[in-house]
Amino acid sequence: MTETATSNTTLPEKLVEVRDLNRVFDKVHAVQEVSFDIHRGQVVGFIGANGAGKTTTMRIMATLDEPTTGCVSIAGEDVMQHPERVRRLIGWMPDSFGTYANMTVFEYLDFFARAYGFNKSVRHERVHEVMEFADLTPLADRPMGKLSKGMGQRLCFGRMLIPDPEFMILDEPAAGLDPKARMEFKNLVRLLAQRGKTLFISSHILSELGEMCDTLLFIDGGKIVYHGGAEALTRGNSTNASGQAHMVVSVGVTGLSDTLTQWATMNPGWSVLEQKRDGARLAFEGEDTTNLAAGLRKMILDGVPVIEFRREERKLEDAFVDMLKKVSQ
Amino acid sequence: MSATASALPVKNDFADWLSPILVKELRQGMQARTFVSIFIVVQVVMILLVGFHLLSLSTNARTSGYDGFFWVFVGFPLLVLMPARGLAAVSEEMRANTLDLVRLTRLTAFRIILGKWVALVSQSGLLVAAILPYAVLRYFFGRVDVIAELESLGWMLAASFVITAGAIALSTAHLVLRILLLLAVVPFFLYISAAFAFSMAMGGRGIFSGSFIPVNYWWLILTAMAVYVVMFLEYAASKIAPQSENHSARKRSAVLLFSIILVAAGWLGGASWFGSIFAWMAPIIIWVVVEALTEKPVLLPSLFKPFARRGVIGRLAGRFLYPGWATGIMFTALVEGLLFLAVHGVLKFDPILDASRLAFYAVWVLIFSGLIAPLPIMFMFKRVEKRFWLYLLIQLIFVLLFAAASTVADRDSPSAFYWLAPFPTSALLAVASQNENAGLAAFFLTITSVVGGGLLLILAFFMRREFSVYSSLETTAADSIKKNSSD
Repeated sequence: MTETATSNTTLPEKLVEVRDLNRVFDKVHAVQEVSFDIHRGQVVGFIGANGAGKTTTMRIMATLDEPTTGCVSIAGEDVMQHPERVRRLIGWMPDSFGTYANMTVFEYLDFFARAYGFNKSVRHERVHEVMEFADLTPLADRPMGKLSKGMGQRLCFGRMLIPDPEFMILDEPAAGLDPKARMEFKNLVRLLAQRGKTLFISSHILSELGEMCDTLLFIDGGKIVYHGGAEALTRGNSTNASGQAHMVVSVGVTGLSDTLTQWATMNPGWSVLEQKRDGARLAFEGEDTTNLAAGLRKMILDGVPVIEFRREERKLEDAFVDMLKKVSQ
Repeated sequence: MSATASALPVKNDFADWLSPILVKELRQGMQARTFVSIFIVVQVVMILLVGFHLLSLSTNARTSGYDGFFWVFVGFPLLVLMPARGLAAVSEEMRANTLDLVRLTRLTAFRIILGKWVALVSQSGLLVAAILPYAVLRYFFGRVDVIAELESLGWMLAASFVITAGAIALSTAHLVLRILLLLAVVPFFLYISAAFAFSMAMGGRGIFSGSFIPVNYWWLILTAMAVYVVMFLEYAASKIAPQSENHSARKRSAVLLFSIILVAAGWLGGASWFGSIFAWMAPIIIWVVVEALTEKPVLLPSLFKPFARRGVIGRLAGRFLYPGWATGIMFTALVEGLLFLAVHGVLKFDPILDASRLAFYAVWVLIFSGLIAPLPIMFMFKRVEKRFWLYLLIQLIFVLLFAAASTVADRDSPSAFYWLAPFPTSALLAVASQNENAGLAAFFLTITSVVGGGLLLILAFFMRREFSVYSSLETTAADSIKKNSSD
């Protein structure tokens, strides 16, 4: 691991291709016609509620499950036909992993380094490198069974790094971590991204992924409902219950906020989303910012004591909810 | 980072050339409470037994009771406790979600399983090594036959190897099945142990005390044990391997090899050799044949490449070795043909063949028809995933039909058996139970041949479809090989 980008440029630009993927368990259609591409060096967030089909899709990509139909290829190798070749390229971090009894952190990593075919001198160096990177060195002699959730996740992360994979699949890596551990994890992801690695991370905590990922994939009911950047989502407009687009503004006033909310209910196009002590969150119908500016002028002319007027960026969570609304319509 | 690395501890407890799984299992296993407890208990019991043995010698009392307990306390850990640890070898890793992580490494499924087996048997070996000093003490003070004792210990260890492999294979099975087998096996062993200890206490000679196996047969038994170990491990490996690893071909090739050995034994060695080898190999042959007949086809072009690479011969071999029930039928026919040849070799000069040639041929036709009979019925239950068990269930129904007919049939007038003719497995059992009744054999040969032919026609219709898919996949595989070589 060097400090500069080490991504293998011999790999194709389109590193992962998922085509028409379906997975049926008895009567449950867990993954339905899922298709997407991941480019080399991208950090992709995979978002969906529990049971949406995230883990199933990821397990198929990691050669651990078999699709009912469809195919996945990683660096041009089909995961079904040549799992052994795909496994040389990928790292897999499951959402939960069991511990081995009577084994220390060092022994665990040493075992995986042996299993990945590292011989003695290289193996020690590799294990120590990974321990340093994942901050596991102080835990080297600690039994696996005595690690906290955060330490266990770091160990699992370290294990994934042993073969220095080009493409890493991480299933809910930050689940159950405290804020400090979550921050540390984000830093590790950032470091790997700087080194040109390709990462595919699932989570149901959207804000977390928005900060880390170049691209987001939303999955719902086994189907991909969005594939694009986080910015495009947060810049976009929300929709109300009847599906109409609106802009959300946060307005601060001097004195009581009643003047503002009364004004908003009396003026067409405006509605109150949330009343606060010193202001309110308002919704303004439509997507035209010129109309919004006119609305502000009228608000001031009508004597509302405005001291703050700010158009809110949508939260990813809101975007996700809107996305689901659109899909269900 | 390398500067930091050099400051960190280096662990060299196991050599580099050892299998990673073996290293892991030994690191875990040698510190596991089960192993340490067994080890300590065996030591304590051995000290007590040898102590009592020596005391009884000084008082000229009978010592055979101590012999019995000695062997029970050696046998129970070796044949039950240590192999029982294999029952959790794979299932525990599956439950803990750790097996996936190991499968993603460079280790093949077979190496993973082999490593687990070697780790367990080396711990059994360690236990035996710890017992050896007591065996020597018994020889030194107790006037026992040390060679016979070591031989018995060796056989016990070999049996432990096989049982451990079986336990590992079983660890890939469903929990209910494992519990049922445990409930069946453990009381049986306890009963045998108690009976054995009692007989030794009464001054008898136990099977583990002395050269009870003729030296001439050692190699046969050891080979058979090795075959069982490999097949059990192969079975376990096939359960955790990706579909792209063709384990069916390995198992079927092994059975074809055994069948060829049986042909050689039948023609060159005669009845005793054929009988001895067949008795050992029959369970494996039956198991692999049933598995072949019930397998789902795997249609991955990469599976076809090794066969396509070998041209026409490879493609022909593929018709018997590709995973799937269609090739399973071809494979079953080939195995049965080889066994027919082998038995013909055994009976070539036997007047019994001339006397009951019809019954002889009837049996072979019925065996094949019986083996394939459940398959057309299974087409009606396409959604059932556990095809192996469905097959066995259908066969069980055929057996029950025979049992029902047997209860009403009169020995002198077995007309109740005639209605079994459409059910080949039941008919086979009827012919076997009425082996002196040439009329019954002739009847079944006629009717069941027609039924068997009909079944084969139905199956051939579906097989044709399967084989056309295989042909196109072979062509795809061959094209890919050509493309790769031209690149």
